[in-house]
Amino acid sequence: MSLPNCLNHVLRRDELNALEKKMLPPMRVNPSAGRLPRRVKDDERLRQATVSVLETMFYRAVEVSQPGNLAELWAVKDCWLHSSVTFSGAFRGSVVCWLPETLAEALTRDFLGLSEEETVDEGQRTDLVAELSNMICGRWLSTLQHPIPFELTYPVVVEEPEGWCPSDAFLHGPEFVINVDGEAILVGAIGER
Amino acid sequence: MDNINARAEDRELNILVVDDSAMMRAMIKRVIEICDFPGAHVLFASNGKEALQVLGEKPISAVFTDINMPEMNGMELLRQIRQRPEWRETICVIISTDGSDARKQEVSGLGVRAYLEKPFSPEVMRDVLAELFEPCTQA
Repeated sequence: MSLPNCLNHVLRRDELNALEKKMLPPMRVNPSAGRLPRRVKDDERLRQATVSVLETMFYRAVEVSQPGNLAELWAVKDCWLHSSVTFSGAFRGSVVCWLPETLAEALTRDFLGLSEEETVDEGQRTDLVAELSNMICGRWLSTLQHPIPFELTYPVVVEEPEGWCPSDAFLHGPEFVINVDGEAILVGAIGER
Repeated sequence: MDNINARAEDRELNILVVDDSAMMRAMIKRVIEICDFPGAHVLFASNGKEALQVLGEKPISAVFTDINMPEMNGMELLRQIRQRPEWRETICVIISTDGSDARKQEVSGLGVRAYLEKPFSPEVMRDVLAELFEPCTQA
């Protein structure tokens, strides 16, 4: 499977692992520059970037909260999609997002101006999730105003297995939850030591 | 450029949108269509290589390009456009998530007329289009 094709359908975990081994070479790090800590804690700029993307491009009123009691999210029976964008430059890492498939579909409709009668296909939904994470990552890195421009890889979107629970995501790095009309987007950044 | 300076009703305004995201291409097309510029026609390419092919086949008034794309990125596309005398007058606009000063500095020597940072609202896109094309609609 070539990397660009993955933008048009959701990968399973095993496909993703194979793809990462094959397609994503180790990123080169500027040896003179610093690196992110393992997890980016309370990065206000990442929150602002996420809110800015959702409010500006989707006209959504959003509310930010810290990960805490996720009980209400466990009630989400929908499939969750996970998107990650890796970046390199002055330092390297990745920005990760999770969102329910239903929210991805609603955002796709907003973005394309589609009516309820029009069908959203898997490719459109996956592309939307990929672009969303790409915009959040790019916007966040831009605000850092580092003298060396960052390079972003193409987002990889994965469908989480059935029964996946949002609390699992917090083992891997998300730092905050964005409430979009009662549905959640989990966002975080992971750096490399 | 001749087709830009032509009378509004006569001109052909081919706008080439270059982005690897089909979603962004569709969104940009929708905004351009809402703006309803006379003679405007939107064409697509998903990377710089495809864009060069389209430029070789049709008269293009303006290129709206992303930077980060597979095959050939937006920076290389702009360099190639500027090297070809027949495309020298083509209006080039960057649409990118990378709004850093470092990146803007990098593109500054490539004749870019506008730099649109994602996320942007449709209104911002409309303003850029108006600034670039409205003088010729009043001709």
